[in-house]
Amino acid sequence: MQRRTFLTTVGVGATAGLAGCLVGDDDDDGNGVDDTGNGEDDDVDSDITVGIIYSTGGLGDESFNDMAFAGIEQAEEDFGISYQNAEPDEPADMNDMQRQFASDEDIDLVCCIGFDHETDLEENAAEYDDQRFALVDAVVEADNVANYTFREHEGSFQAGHLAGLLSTMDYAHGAGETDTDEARVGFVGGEEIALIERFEAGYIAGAQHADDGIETPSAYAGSWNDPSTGQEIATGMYDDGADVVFHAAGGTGGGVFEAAQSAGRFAIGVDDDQSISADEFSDVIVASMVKRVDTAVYESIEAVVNDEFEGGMNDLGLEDEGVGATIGQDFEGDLPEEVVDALEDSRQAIIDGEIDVPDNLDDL
Amino acid sequence: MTDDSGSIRERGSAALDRLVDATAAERITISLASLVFAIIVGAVLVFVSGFVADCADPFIYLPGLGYGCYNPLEVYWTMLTGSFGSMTVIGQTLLQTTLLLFTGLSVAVAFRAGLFNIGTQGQMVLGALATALVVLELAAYVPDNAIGMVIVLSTGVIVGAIVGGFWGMIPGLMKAYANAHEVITTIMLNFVAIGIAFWLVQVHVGDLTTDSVQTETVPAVARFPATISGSRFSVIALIGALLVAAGIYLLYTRTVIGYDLRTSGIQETAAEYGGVNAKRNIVTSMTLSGVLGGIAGAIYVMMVQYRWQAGIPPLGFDGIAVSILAGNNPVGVIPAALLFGSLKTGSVAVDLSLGVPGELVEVLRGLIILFIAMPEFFRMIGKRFGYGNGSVATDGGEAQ
Amino acid sequence: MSPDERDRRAATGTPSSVHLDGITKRFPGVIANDDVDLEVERGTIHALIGENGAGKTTLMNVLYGLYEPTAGTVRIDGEPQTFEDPGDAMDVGIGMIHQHFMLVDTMTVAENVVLGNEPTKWGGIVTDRARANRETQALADRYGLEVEPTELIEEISVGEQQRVEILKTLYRGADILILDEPTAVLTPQEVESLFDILRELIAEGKTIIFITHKLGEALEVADEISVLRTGELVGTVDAETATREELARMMVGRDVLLEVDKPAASRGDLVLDVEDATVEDDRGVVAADSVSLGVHEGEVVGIAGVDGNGQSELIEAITGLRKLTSGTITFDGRDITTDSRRSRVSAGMAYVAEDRQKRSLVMEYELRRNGLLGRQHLRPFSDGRLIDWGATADYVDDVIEAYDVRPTDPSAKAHSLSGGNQQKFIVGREFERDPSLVIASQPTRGVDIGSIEFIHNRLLELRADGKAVLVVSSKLDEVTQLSDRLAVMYDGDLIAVVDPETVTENELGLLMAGERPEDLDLDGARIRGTPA
Repeated sequence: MQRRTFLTTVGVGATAGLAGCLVGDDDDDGNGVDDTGNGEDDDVDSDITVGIIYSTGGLGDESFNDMAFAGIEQAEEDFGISYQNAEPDEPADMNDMQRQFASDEDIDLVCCIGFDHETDLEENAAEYDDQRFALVDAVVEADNVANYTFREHEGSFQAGHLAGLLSTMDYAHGAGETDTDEARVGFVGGEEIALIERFEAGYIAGAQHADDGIETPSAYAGSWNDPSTGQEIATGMYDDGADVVFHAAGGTGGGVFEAAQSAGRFAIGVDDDQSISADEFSDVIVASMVKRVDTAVYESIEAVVNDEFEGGMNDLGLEDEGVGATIGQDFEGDLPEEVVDALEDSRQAIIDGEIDVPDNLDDL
Repeated sequence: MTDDSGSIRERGSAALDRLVDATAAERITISLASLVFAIIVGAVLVFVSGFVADCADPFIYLPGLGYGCYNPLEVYWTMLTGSFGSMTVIGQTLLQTTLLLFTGLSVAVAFRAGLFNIGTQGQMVLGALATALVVLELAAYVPDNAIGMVIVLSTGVIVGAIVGGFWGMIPGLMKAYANAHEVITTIMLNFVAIGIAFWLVQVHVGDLTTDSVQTETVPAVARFPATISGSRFSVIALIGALLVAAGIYLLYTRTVIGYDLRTSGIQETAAEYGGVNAKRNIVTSMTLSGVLGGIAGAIYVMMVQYRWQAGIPPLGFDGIAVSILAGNNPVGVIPAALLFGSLKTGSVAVDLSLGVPGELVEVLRGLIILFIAMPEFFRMIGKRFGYGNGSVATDGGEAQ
Repeated sequence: MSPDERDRRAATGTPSSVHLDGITKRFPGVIANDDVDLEVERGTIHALIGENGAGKTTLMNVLYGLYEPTAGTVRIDGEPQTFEDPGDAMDVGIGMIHQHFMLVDTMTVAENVVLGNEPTKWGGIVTDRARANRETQALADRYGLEVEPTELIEEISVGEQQRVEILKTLYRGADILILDEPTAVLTPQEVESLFDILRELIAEGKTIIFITHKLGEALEVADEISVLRTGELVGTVDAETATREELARMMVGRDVLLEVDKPAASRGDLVLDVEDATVEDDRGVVAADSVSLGVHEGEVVGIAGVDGNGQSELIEAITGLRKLTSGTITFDGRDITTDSRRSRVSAGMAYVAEDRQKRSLVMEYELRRNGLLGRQHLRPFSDGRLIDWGATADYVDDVIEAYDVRPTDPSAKAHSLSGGNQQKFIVGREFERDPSLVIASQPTRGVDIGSIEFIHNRLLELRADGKAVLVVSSKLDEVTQLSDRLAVMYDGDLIAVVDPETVTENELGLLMAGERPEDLDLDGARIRGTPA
């Protein structure tokens, strides 16, 4: 079961992914949300209403926000809840939206997606202490806020491990092949913030787990939405002999994929299975570091439906299937058996606490 | 008049002449008619889109067409009640209006003087940051009472004004002494301002405990006292904005300084002929414009966000539309800002409470602004290219 | 119609080239042209004269396709034409040189000449600059229009810009040339050479329509002269037999005194004293070199010279718009060399600037606001801080009435007035402020004949009142008639101060063209050497 989740595709994001999610109600293999919500809660017609406020990327980002939406749609399907969407144009809009939902008597849970909600929610959670909130990607310590954070470094470790293994071997599939001259894998970040450094640290640790002497260049584009800079950075990395580049850079990552196609190398996506959500690059996206925002949203709603809501921390790691490396759809079943086995071993080792994954660059 | 050198096409020219020479009353009538027209067009658009969309409980079924999801009347009603339906939303509307008054006036001050300040956004962003940083420091040294609040708020506004003014002065200097066109320089300086502010906050002066690019939250003593419960709107800021509007109106219609500023911007060589240091006045106009942009930023920090956070809303750019809609008349900026403010608040309500997609609401908002602003816009263009015979009293702003 | 066909028609002597039939052009509230018939024969020069606002330019704009006539037809070589825009007019060989130049300041002379018809290389992608320069030079040489093809328009004088305009139209191969006030900025010699060009052009079968205020020019160069007044055609006369007096009466509708009646001067104290003034132009080149000049109470001093010989810079230095490199300026006994423009105005210096649309008026302002320009800091217009609009309005109303400015509405924008009315307004504004010194640069440029008479009389009244008057004009008859002493500038030097009573137009022309006074057969008595 665990292994199957890792190896199969996770259908979220737009188009194909989303459809899969909606249809995959019954025991459709590999959909983590289904697995979680399966069985006991089916056909419950709850009168719960959820207000959900996205981050500034908004719906249609084929990533973070669409994942959250997928979670709420799944909850609608499973529990019959209803929901209202709010898409802020700027972080400045979040405060008003939180307050509007919080003060709405019909709303039973306010889901706040993204760390930009944190500061406003600190005040609003205190002011509206009879309202329940869920916060994704940040922490507000209050009894009425359920926080969902992710152990991105664990998933990134898996991504790094995979990248490191590929870099040290001859491998060709899809539109890419490795350059065996030297072991080198790259990382491209969006903005240089603690969250993304967590990705970077885990990724580098994972790569070094595969090969102690591996080169791990990394760079930040300074923006979540600058594909041309992403392409420039990644092309430079591939030119220097990098076999795989992992991005944690939102829309900037599109440029990384383009660079991978031009160079004939591999890339690793982020947040959702980008071999599906960005399927024009599926021939180079060997895997994606998925971050199950949908699971977080779904779980918070499930808790309210079951009247089990409580504030506090939910730190989702590999063990909880909150994060993980998902093999790209074109590569599924094609990776060498020893790579797949090695990844499974390191995954288990992290869950078992045998590998301590650093969550910042200083602990590398 | 008859020896006037001509233009391209007769009919268009006549229409432009007519528009340029329209009286204030005619222009208000044109604006109202445009509003009605925009509402009708928007209603049709919303209604038709409802047939393309999918929804659980359609409001209408038309044989042959299918189910219609969106009721235009309901959308407009929600927009209206969402901006004026309760004290709280009125507060929100006035809050937006206050900010737009400052940015609209910032743009209008420059436009009036023949200078195109597209840089209000950058001036506001930097003014806001300076205000946030200074009041965060200052709040520790003042008593936590009304006196402390007066000290912090007034200091905050002054700091925002100084920094915004400085940022406005730069393109002014470049225009006056290096002949660099202010449209280009102000646009570019927006990027510079936003970049500098982002970098400063992210790396140096921000709240480094959070992943958001933001400063610490300012304490209560640095917040404008809310007038209406449920909203952060403060009537003090609105009164300040209205006084500024009146002041600018008087500046340009009654004072020698205003006359000199305007003449310098509109026709530098004639200003020199009139014994005015045109270059210095161009710098002054741009600085004044920046001052108002900076104050908008200060108000934003101390009345709306209570901190500086990356992604300041594009109030500076909205200010351009507000100013154009008002015919760059400082008094006209007041209703224009109110319209923009209520549209902003109303569309949030539609977005939240109806199933109408946010994009469609944006379209409605855009239509209303477009329809109202277009005649005014054509009027400005026409004026610029010398249409109209000017024999009819013009802008309300040009009394006497 | 193809060029070949045009040539054939020219060769076979089709009698009438341009035929305007019952042209009426209405603007909202105004009839600019009222049932005008005009016939211009191929190979002739036809002068169109009339006061400002008489409808000359409107009529030509109809012919040029800028305006669509309200009624009437345009026929070219007998063919009825409907012009949608000037492009259509150009297609049948009509070219127009406008009063207000339509040149791109930031481009070179040659680029302007070829604009829209650029010679290209590399398969039409790139403008062939070398060829454009060459062709412009060739065209300029052929017609004796002196220009430097590679200079930027913004760096050349107004006179040179005029020549570029003419070249531009010639380059496009126009058959019928319409020239709107082409001689306003030219020296007598240049005017003569322009007339030679025009004569040469008609000899080649081209047709010229020539709009002017100057009766003398019309009589000299034209074959026929048509007179417009208030939109109507008063008549067409044969230039051979017409007289100045007859034409002036047709234009104005009454008898006009063409000669200035000037009483003897009663010279008083020295008001303006310029000593060794050296001034640089915008490019830092010395424009006026060690010029010394004085103007007394009750005296008119004229400065004659071709545009671009340093007069403009000298005047700007005197009026405070330009810094002196060296030298001193004394005004009413006080050294004002470093004084600001504002303090010079306050001290009583009135100035009618050469370029009214750039300097003396804010084109976007109403007349009321323009009435304030320059004195906005002074009583009664303001107390230095607040403007007294009531006093301003009174003053503007007085100026409008006394100087017959039309429209009479003080809230009319300056740009909506014709050039002549703009000038009358400026002259009135400056003259009525009780100045002790009046500096008038090209005071009657673009002004109709009735207003010229009026402005000249006002200048002489100021002189009679004991004011000091300094007049700069490229119109020789104007400076010679008005001045008590006449200074001639050439290439930055004030080369002579002559007695306008005795100097001949030919001698003046030669001085303006750079002849040294000592080389001329000038009687010593006629050179009043000492500038003061």
